[in-house]
Amino acid sequence: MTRLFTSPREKVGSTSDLQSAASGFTRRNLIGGALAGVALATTMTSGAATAAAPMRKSGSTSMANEPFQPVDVVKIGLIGMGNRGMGMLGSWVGVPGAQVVAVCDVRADRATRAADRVANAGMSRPREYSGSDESFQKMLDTEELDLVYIATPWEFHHAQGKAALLAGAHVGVELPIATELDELWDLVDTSEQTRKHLFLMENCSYGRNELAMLKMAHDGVFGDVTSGHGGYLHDLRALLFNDGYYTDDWRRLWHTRSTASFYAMHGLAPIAAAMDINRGDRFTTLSATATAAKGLADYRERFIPRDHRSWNEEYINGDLVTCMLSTAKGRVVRAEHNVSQPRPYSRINTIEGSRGIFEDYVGGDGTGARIYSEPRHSGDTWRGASALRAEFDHWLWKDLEGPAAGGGHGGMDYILQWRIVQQMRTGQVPDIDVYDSAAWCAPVPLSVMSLEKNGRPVEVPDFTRGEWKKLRLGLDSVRSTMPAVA
Amino acid sequence: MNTKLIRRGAIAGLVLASALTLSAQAAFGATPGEPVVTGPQVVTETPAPAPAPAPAPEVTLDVSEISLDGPAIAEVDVTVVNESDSAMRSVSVTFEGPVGWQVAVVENDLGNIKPGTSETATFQVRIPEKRSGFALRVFTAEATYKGGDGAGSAAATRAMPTAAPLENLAAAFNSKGITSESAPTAGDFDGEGNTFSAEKLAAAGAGKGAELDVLGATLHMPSVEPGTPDNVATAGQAVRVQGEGERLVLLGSGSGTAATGTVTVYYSDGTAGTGSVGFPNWSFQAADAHGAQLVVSTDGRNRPNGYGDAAYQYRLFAHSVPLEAGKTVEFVVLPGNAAMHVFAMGIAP
Repeated sequence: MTRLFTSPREKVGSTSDLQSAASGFTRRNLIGGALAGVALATTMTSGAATAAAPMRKSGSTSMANEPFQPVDVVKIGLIGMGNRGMGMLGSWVGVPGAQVVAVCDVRADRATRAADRVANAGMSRPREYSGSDESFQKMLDTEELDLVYIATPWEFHHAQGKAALLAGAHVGVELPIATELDELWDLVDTSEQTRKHLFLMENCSYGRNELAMLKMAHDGVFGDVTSGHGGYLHDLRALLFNDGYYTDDWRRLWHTRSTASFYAMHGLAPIAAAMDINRGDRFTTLSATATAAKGLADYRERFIPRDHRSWNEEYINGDLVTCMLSTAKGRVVRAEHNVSQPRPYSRINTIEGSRGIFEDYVGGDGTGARIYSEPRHSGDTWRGASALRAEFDHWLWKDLEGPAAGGGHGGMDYILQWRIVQQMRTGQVPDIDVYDSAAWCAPVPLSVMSLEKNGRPVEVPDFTRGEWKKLRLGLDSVRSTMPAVA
Repeated sequence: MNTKLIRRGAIAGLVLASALTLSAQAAFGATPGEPVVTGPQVVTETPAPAPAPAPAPEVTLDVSEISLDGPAIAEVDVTVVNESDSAMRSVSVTFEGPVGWQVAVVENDLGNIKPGTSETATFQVRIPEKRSGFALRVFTAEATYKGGDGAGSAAATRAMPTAAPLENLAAAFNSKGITSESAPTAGDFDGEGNTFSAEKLAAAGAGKGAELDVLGATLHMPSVEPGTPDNVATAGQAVRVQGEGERLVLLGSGSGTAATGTVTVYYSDGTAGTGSVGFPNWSFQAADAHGAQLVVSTDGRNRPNGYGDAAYQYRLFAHSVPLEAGKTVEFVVLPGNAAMHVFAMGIAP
C-alpha cells in the first residue's frame, strides 16, 4: 500500500504509535493548535488506496445536486482558532444570518480570545471548548450545529470532518479535506450516509479573476477548453521557520515526511471548475514530478541559528512538485506546488482552448491577467483582461464588492463565507460539494503514489461514482440574494 | 416551435420570420433556395428560376426549443421521425452546441424506429449567462442509422439569436483608429498604439464626416472627434443596415495581413446570404490584397511618441458583398476578426 508519509525519520510519540503507523504516519493531537509529540494511531485502511471506486454504502445515495435544508440562522461551530481560524472569524460574525455559537481549540487562551472577539462584535458569546484532545468531540456532542468550520493542521482534517458529519452538521474544511485516498473516500461515504455536505473551503474558487475566467470558459471565449495550469507558488520559507506562526511547526514538519503536492488546490480548483470537472468531465490520471528539496535547507543555512530545532530535520518534499492530470474528455491540467523557494506569489490560473487563452499573474493590467481570444483579438498581441473581466464579472463580485473589500485574501474569504451561509439559509445546492473537494485534494496522495513509480500515471478515482457525466451548475451560479435577518 | 428538417445532402435552412422580431422563437423552413445552415454559417443558395420540388425527407430530426436564459443546465430533446417505409436500425444521435459549450448525453442510442414512428434522444447543455449584444447560437443534431430511407444519416440545426442588432455602425464602434497629431496617444489602431492621422486624412479628403463615393455607394467617414471610437474591430457584431441595392460596401483597413472574414446579410424576408471580404494591412500589403480596392492613402501615421513614419502610406480600402436583387437588407453580421476594422458601411444602389 502506498502511504502519504514516506520518511523513516519521522518522530513518533510511542512504540505503539510506531507500530500502528505502518509507513511512518503519526497522527498528532486532533485539536487545532497541535501539540508536538502527542501521537495517535492512524485510522486509515489499506483497501481504499486504489483508483477503483468502492461500493456505495447500503442505503446511501449521491449528494450531487442535493440542496441544503434551509435554516433561518446558520449556527456555526469553529474548530481551530489559530491563524486561519481567527482570520475567518470576522466574516463568520459579519455575514448576515450566521451565528458563531461555539469555538474550540486545544489551547484555552485561543478559544477565549475567539469568544471575546465574537462578544466584542456585539454577538452572543459563543461557548468555549478546549483543553483536551477530545474537546472538539465534546463540542460536537454538546452543540446543535448547522455548520462546522475546521481550520486545524492538515493531519486532523479527516477525523474532525468525519466527526462533524456524524454529529449532524455540514462541514467546511480548510485545505486539504484529507491527505489519503481512503480518507477521501471515507468523507465521501460519510457525507452520503449522513446526508450532510462536506466541502473544501477553497476561497480561491471565489477569486474575481477565477470566477470571470470560469464564466468566459462557459461562454466559449476560449473555444473548446483543452488545457489548464494552476497551482500554489508561494514563498513560505520565512513563515515555515517562524517560531509560532505554524503551531508546533506543523507545516514545516510535513516537508520532512512526505513527498506530496500538499496544497495545489488553490490553483487547481478554479481550473477544474472551468473544465466542469465532476460536472461533465473528470480527472482520470495523474503523473507527478518533483525537483530536489533544496529551498528549505538553503534558507535554514542562511537564516536560522544553529541551535534551532529545525536543524534536526531533513526535508524530502521537492521544492517544485508538478502534477499532470488528464481528463475523460482529453484535457490536460498542470498543477504545481512550490512553497520553499524564493519567488513572487502566483496561482498561475491559466486556461487555454481552441480560440483563446487566459493567463493570470502576468501583470497584464490592473487585473494582473492577460488574455487573447478570437475573434475579439488579432495580431498575436496580449490584451489586459480588464475589459473581459468586467464583461464576465460574476454576480457575487458585482453584489458583494463593497462588503468584501478589506476582507481576507482580497475579499475572497468573505465571498466564500457569505455564499456558504446564503446557500444554507436559502436551501440551495452548494457550489462545492464533497466530490469536488475529494477530486481537488486527491493529488495529495496520488502525487506520492506517482512519484514512487518514478512519475508514471496513476488513476484518479471517480468519487462521484459515475455522476460526473451529468452537467451541474456549480460555481457559475444563478444570482440570488441573502434573506433578511429576522 | 421546432427546427427545420434536413436530410443529409438535401437543402434546408434558416428562415428568420422577420429580422425585426428575432427571438428565440425564430422559425426555420426547408425550402430550396432558402439559406442553408452549415454549422454556424448561413449560406444562401443561388435562386433558381424554377426550382424543382425537392423530395420530401423521409427521415427527419427535430431539435426542441432551448432557453438561452443562463446560467442553467438545459435539457434538449432530439426527435428522430421515420417517415419512410422501412424500419430504421442502430439509430444513434449526436448533438453539439456553440463552440466551448458543454454537452452531455442523457440518452442517444435509440435502437430501432418503426416506419411512421419516432424516438427521442435527450442531451444536457450548459447555457452560459445571457449577455448583451447579438450572437447567433447554433445547435446541431445528427442521427446515423441503417435502413429507413437508406440515407444513413440526417441532421437538424437550431439557430437562435440572443438579441436585436445594433441600430447603426457607430453603435458598434469599439476601436480608436484616428487621432490628432496633437494627441497621438488617444487611440490604438494596431494594438501597438499607432493610429491614422486625422490631419492627414482630412488632407486626403477623408476627414471627420467626409462623404466618399466608394464602389458605387455614398459613405461617410465617422462623424466623431479624433481619439474617440471611430471604427469596428469586427467580432461578429450585428448591425442594422436597411435598404436595397447591388452590393453592401465596407470601408476599412487591416491591422494585420489576414484581415478577412465573412459578412452575413439578413433580408427582410427572413433569408440570408454571405460574402467574403478582406482589407489589406493598412501599410505594407498590396493594395488589392484580398480583393480590396484602395480608397484613401495618407502619408505617415501617429505613433505613441508623435506623428512619424512619413515615408510610408497608411490606407483605407473598400470591399463589397453582392446583394440579392429585389430583397431588402435588414441587418448585417460582421466578420469575427478583430484585425478587420470597419469605418463605414452602406449599400450601393
